[in-house]
Amino acid sequence: MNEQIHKVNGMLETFLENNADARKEQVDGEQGFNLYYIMSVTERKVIYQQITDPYFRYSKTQFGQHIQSIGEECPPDQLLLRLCKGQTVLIYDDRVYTIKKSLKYATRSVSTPQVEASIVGPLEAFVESMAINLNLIRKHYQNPDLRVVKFEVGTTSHVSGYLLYDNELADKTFVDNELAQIKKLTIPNAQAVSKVQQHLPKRRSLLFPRSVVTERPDRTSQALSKGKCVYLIETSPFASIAPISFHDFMASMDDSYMLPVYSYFLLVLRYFALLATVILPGAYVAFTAFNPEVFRVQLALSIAGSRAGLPYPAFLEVTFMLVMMELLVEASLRVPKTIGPAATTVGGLILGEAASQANLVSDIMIIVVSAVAIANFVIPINPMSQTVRVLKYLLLFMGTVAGFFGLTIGFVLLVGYVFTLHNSNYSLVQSFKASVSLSTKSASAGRQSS
Amino acid sequence: MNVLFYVSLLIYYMINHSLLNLPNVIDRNYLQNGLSALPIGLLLAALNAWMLLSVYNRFPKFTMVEINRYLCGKYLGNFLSIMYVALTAFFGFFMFRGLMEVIIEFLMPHTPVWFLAILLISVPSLALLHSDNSVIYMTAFFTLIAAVLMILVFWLGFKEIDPVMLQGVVYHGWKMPSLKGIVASAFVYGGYTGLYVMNPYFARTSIKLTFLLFVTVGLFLSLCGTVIPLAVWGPWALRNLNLIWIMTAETFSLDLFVLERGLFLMIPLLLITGYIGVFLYTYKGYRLLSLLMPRKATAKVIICCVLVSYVILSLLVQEPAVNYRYRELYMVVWFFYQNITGVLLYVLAKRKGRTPSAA
Repeated sequence: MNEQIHKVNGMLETFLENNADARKEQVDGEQGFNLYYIMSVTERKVIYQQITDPYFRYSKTQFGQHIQSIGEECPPDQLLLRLCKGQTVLIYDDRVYTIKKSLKYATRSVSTPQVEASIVGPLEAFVESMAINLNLIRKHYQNPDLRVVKFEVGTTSHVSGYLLYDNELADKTFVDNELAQIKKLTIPNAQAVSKVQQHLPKRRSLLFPRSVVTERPDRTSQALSKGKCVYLIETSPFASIAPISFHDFMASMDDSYMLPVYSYFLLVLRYFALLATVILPGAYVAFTAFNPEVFRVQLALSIAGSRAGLPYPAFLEVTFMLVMMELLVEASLRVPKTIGPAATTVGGLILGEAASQANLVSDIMIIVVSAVAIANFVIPINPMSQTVRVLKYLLLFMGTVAGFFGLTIGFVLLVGYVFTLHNSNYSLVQSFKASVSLSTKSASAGRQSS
Repeated sequence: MNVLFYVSLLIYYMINHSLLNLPNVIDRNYLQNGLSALPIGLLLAALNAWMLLSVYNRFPKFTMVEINRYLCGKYLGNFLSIMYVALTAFFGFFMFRGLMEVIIEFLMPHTPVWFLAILLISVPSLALLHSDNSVIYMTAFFTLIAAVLMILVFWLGFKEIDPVMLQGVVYHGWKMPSLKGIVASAFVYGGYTGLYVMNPYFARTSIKLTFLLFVTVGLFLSLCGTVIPLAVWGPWALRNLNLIWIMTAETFSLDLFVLERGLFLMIPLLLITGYIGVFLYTYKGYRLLSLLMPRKATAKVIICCVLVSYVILSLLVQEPAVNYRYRELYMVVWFFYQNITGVLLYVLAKRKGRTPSAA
């Protein structure tokens, strides 16, 4: 036994001592043929079929060729990492091999989408298994130009991920940039694809998402066919799509399945909801506290009458109600599903009826907050919905400090900021039609030349 | 796609200046001015646009700074560019102060001016974060909103026109125009000056399309912008009015959902056009300075100083009439600069011809 094998054996023995689920199997003591694997992430049946059984059936030469074909020689520094990734380490004939085939991760089967419901679309969603997710994507996008590039993220977690793109349609410069950025990633632990996406741009986005996170293979397939890149992470049941336009956040998959008139109607409704949820709280404060003259007299009097008995200013009323609503939303998300409806009902009763009767908030305020909450949930992509939840407070602040003027300033600043957002050369708001490859290439060419 | 953005830029300028500048010059002095300034202004603007667009189309990858340097030499070229940046900064202030006037008068009469000025300065400050294409997209977005509001306002305005007043407007319309009136009319069509910065994005720009927009949209907006207030108030009543379009919109009654006063359609329109106007002037100044200066950071510092001076000056210049008087003077200076540089660049471009590097 040479010195390197001796050293590897020592390393593996130490690993065995420290990990209760690690196993060593001595297949042939005379030949020094040992197997090392972690029981909890390894398929024992594969080890028997691919290694143990052939060893006793094949001649030494045949077995040597067999091992060469199913395994690969491993440098000592990679050994423990590969062991942790579910590979079997095999020491045979004074050489160290690792066998990938033995990997076995627990996973669930394909289920219906939990976050992005669809009425007429496919009812399949990604799961926490890369094999299944790739299977779903290949099923929805059967194109020989599809490229799948493997990468690893997390300096401590070492999770595998895949970057998928259509070689014919995707912008090569963008793909190369993304791959270069992935190599530079230094996040210690990446368990979700959205976290990886946050760190990919040179400047980390703080408020607006730079990618669409989806659990739907059909949306992923549609993105690939538009020349976009798709990221998958081994531990996440979501795919992330980039580059994107703002419109992608407002588009549901049903839009492409349903009749055009109905789809456009829904689209207009969603943009209206976006505006309503962002502007309404600030507008309520601006128009009740600063500029009631904007409204027609009857409405202004009605609002003033509704607020007649309230002991505090409009912005406190709005803030109180919005915070209560946020608490209710968070509670209904975090509590066990069995008591979720009860919490929502109790909260809804207190917020709606009791607060109004106790003269803590006006009746119109309850209508406004309900409208804001409902409109917020209309936005189909969850990360954007969360962003919008925060944005309304910015406009509320602006409306509180300077009324209608502040509200318009806030709106222009917000829109102006959204227009500055870029992912590589792709702006977030370059095309209403979400056909990134067409509009953005010409626009970025213009930018570069300028 | 780029043509649409160019069109939106031109239309934005037309909406902005036909509502904010033109009525203040022509309507207030209508008894001496007349409407004849409008076609003359259009002709002069078209001539200037033709010369400048011809030059800019010869150098599709160049901005104003590079064209000036190439055609006029380093020193004169840089001087012309700096002059334009200075003019831009001045007009940015006039727009800024004009906007403040609307806010102080109609929205926040009891709030300290310094507070409003600081809040308002946040909009042009945003220009430092932008790039050419994001500015173009943003302008197109807000132009769309402004166009919808403007159509509503004009539609309300047509309903309020008094035929007797209109007779007076037509009667006085043929008087000889003043220089200020002509200049203000030409100013409406100044959207093509966006090419000073964005020529590489738009070039080659269609001169025919530009003229078509001038004659259709531009002339229509100029006419509506001047005639509606005159036909509602009468030339005599407008002599002493500030904020002419706002006061005109105040007379419109409407039944639009929760609104019953035309004023509250006009104010958002003026705010949007005003914000984007100040923003665009700041951006143009910033981009040209960053091309002129060896370091981008220097341009940023200068623009920040200019914006701070806007706040300070808006505290010092509180009288609207002073602001209007200087704005009218500014427009005359701008007009001469525009035409002189237009002719100069056109002649020099003809003489030097197209170079391989420029083409």
